[in-house]
Amino acid sequence: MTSTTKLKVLGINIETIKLLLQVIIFISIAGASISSRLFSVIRFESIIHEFDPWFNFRATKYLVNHSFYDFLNWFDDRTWYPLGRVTGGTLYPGLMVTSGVIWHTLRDWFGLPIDIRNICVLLAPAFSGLTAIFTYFLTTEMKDSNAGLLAAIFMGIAPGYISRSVAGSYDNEAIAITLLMATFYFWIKSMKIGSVFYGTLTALFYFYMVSAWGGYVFITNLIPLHVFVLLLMGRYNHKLYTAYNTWYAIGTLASMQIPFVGFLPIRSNDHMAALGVFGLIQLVAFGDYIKSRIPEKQFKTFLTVSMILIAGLGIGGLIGLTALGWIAPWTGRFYSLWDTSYAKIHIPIIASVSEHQPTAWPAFFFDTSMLIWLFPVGVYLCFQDLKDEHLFVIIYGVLCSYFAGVMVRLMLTLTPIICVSAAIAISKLFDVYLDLSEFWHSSSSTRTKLFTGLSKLLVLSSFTYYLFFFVYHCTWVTSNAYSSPSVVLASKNPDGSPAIIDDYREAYYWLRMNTAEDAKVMSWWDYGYQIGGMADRTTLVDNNTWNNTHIATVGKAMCSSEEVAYDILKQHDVDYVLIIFGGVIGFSGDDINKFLWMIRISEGIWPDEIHERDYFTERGEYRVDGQAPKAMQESLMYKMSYYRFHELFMGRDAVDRVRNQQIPIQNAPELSVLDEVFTSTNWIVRIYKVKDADNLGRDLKKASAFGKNSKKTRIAKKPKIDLRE
Amino acid sequence: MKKSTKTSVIDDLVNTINTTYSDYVKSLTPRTKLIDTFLLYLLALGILQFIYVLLVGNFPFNAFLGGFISCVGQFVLVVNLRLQYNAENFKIFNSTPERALGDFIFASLILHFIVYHFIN
Amino acid sequence: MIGIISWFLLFLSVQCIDIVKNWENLQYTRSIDLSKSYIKETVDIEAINIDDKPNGEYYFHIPDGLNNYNISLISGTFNEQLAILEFQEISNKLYKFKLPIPIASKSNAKFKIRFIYMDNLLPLPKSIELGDVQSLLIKINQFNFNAYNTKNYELNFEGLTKGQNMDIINDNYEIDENECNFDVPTIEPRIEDKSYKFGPVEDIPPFSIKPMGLLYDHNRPLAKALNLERSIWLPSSDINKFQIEEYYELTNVGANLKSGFSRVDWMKGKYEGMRNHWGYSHLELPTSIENQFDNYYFTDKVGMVTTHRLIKNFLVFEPRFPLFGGWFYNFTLGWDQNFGESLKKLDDDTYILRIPLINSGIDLTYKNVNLNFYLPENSQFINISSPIEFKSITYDNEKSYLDVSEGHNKITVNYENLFEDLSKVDVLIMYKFTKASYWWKVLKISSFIFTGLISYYLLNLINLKID
Repeated sequence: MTSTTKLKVLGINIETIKLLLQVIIFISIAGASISSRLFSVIRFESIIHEFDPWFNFRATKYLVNHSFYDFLNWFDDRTWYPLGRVTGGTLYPGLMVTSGVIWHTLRDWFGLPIDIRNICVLLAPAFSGLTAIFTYFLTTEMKDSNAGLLAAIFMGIAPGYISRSVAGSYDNEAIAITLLMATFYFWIKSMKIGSVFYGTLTALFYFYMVSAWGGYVFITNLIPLHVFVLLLMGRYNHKLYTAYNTWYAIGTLASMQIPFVGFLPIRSNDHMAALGVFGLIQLVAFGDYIKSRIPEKQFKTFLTVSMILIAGLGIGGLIGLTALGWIAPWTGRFYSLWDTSYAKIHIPIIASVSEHQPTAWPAFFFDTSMLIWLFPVGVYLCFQDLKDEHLFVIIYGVLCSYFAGVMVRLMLTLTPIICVSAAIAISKLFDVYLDLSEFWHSSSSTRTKLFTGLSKLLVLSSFTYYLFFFVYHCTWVTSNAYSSPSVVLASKNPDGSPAIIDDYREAYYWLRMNTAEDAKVMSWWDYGYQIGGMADRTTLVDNNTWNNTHIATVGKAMCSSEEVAYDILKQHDVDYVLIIFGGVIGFSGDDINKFLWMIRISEGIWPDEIHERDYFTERGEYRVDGQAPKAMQESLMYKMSYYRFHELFMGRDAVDRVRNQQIPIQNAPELSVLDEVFTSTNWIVRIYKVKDADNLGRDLKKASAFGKNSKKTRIAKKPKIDLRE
Repeated sequence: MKKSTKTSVIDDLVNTINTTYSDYVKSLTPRTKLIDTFLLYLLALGILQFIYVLLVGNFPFNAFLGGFISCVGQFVLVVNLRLQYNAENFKIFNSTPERALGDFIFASLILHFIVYHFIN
Repeated sequence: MIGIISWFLLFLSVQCIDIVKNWENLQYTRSIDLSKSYIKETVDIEAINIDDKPNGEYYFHIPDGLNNYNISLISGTFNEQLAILEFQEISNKLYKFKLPIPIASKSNAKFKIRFIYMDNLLPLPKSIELGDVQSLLIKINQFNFNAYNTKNYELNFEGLTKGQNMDIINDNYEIDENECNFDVPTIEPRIEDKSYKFGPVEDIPPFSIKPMGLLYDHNRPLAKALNLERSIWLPSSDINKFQIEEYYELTNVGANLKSGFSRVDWMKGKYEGMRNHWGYSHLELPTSIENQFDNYYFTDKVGMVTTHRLIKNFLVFEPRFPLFGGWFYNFTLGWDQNFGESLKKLDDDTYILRIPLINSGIDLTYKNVNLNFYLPENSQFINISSPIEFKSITYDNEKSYLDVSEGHNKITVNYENLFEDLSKVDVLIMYKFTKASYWWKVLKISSFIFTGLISYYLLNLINLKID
């Protein structure tokens, strides 16, 4: 601060060197975090990954090809046939708008007409660099810039965050984590100095966050909780009042601008905590004012009376409004946060998503490596210091550890705080052990010097090793676990050279090129977004699982017999049915393995017609071979999957390489209501066309049986003259 | 006994309010007076809007919310301003009245821009 | 039978040019090559001038009179390649050519006329099974639709392995019936030297017509590019490289699949590696000395396509799925090419680029081809020379990376109905690109960056702090 002696190294001011070093470190951190996310681009290509990103990509393309208002009013009739989807009003537009703005700026101002796909693919890595910087600022507020730099590099390469932000995973989380860190940083900043300006910035970033990700509710609850705890601890001050009120007033109003959020902030229970704390802080402020004016004893009475009044009013109001239906009760996903088996029982569709499953404990080590055991140390250090901002780290850490344990997906929100507290821990350690000053001017004996030196060396070298190992681990995890686009699969040729399995795109492109433009494609909802994005065809259900009944209908069609299914298909004007089948090359993520969820979801709607039990053998096994139960063998899914599968095996029993079961030849299914129209190279995607109703009014089963029996008659004219070689 | 505690509670309350009020009046400067009048006006406006909605119904819900929240938002912003103007708080906030006013204008502009956008 | 049809004949406006019958064809031989997905026809004519005075003009009608195909190219030679004939199109499919020297009265002249036409082959039956052999029907005039009398006439079909003659009804004549001669002798086909022959017949009157069909086995795909956008990006700096990008919209106009595409059948039949199957699964692009497909790539609208390899003299590309009749596939192929000999500097600022008209796949025909030249920004287009006639030429600008002025000069030349052999002919484009305009661009970009930096600096100077 006021040190008058300026240190100089080689004639340069040490502050300048520090700044220079910091800039260089920042650039390297950003470089590291971006480049470690580019594995998939280098290994495969610049392609959008997985499922949801395909929708975001499609929406972005719509945005850049139309005006912003068209985008907000976009009614998409190519999904959820025949219902359609009010897409503009049911999405978080932040991500698309961000890439749209980048696209326009680069094209119009910088003369760089970059393909929108490349912008979408590289958006997540670019934002991860920003995340690292915001993490730096946040941690700097917590401790100092040394910890900040450590946190930034941790954040940059922690697999828990990389899992959602590799190049191509163009999902809301890609920018949401950046915004999360930014909002928290500005919150801490404004809380610390009580600035309206920073409070407004918090609100603006909060707004951006609301526009980008449904997880904004996390902020909506975490900040009030922080304030609430501070109030309980009696740490009220005017700075807190200023920061919180500015954020709440502007932030709430701004968040209601997003069509999908709408009036939720004043209606839904998820947002009530913030409102409650808003009211509370007014009262506390008022009380505080009065307290400063009057003697202690009078204030106590005043406090008791007003407390009772307010508590009664508040709780009564909340219950009353919920009962009247003014305030929406908590959503299903929210309940499943508290009771992990809630979803399994009540909403199978939520449970069927793998990222909603509870986390297995090795996942924590896998995703954060050594940070996970440094995390409690950091939290402990925060307890020791326990300033207002440290409380924030503690609350965030405790809450998120719980959430991350409940849902795999929420590992993502835990990762930043792990990075922050681990950085605090390590930098504290380095503060102590890197302090070599005593060697110069301490009076201790050489013996103690030697011992302290040795122990310091030991600790430092082991931690350097740990850090090195951390980087190694992160790179390994990123490269092996999180860099597969899942649209394109990597495999090996028999000679060991790398090969690419590109069946999805093959089949989707076939659909796009060779079917009628308005053809309706039925598939399980997992592939809805991809079909919309790559095949550009109308789908019945997709990954935006808002309509459970519709999904159950598709599930029912898949698990019913042909006759039942045919009626459903006809009712919904289905032209093509698309399934994923991994039995030929052993691809385990196929539809037969997801089949149980289809059964469960449709059983939820038609408990009389579909029974999960029917699809298991007597002994409760899930089998597709000769012992497969009748319901299984007659289901449309089974038939579509194994249709003509046996012919690959030259009359022997077919072997399903995913389930390692043998399907006897007499079980080879016949299809009478569908025609096979396309099967991809490795059989992963199979597409069937729904037959038109028979001309003679026979049902299709009889008609196709007739067709099989009648000999093929070839009408051959006798040629006038033949020429043969 | 009971009666006496009750009366003492009421006495206490009345006493509290009285001392606070007189204290408050004493601490007023022309500037804070202006701010407080504005606060009162905002409060009245908010309540008025609320009553209107209760009586007439909340058909253009956006408009009501916009109006109401703009009152509430402006209210808390003004309170923030007032807190920072208070000479005894200068030390806490580590800032000056000019800076506070600048921040206040910035925040209010954003608030009203959003409100304007919200009402359509 | 023909009588029935003639009732339906239409009058077409472009008719009735009085052709003086001053020649007589002594010998008229048509040879039709059916080995490709388009048709190559060669007509050998030996004619005698029956006029009193020397005569230097000959009217040649495409010997068909049936209006159901597109002519790609017509060329001819005179007296065993002594001179090349220049054709002038009088009306649809009627050409006039001037002989290099007028032929004296009662003297003979020999012409050899070649032309290519396409879209005249119909798969019959329309839909077949995967393992069947595709047969094509060509509808053609059995005689010569010629303005002059013919003494001796012959018709040969080559390049087919198995064929049969069919009577067909045609209702799509392009000629006024009054001009046609339907009274023709019946001729029986015979087989000789692996070709399918009609004639010789004697004394054929002018404009003889008899529609006939030939159904023959052709177990190769009829691949067609409905659209080709061939873009040539010329660099503004002096690097010895330029980029070519081609966007293809492919289809197969051969037989359809009778039922859906079954992967089992496809695998069992091992059709993938088979050269003679009517499913179009490989696109073969020959390399040349100038074009080695450096840094080539294939993409389509969902990303990269990895099924390609560069083998000896060919770049082989497999579309994502094989194409059967009525199936479509589009893709983009791009590569770098060295200028080598193809760019010439006329003077300091003027350049001439020589580039093949197309870069054709084997046995591929093209419906609509746009040849786009992207000249460097701020350059001037001077002229273009094309060996075959183009349909239209348009000028435009397109902004590309770091184009700060109007963008690249884009010259689009449109062609129709091309076929593989036209990859051997070159288009020349001449343009002017001065050093000054190059440096102007560099200056402009750097000044933009400079302005940006300066304004950032100025903004920093303004102190926004309120203290």
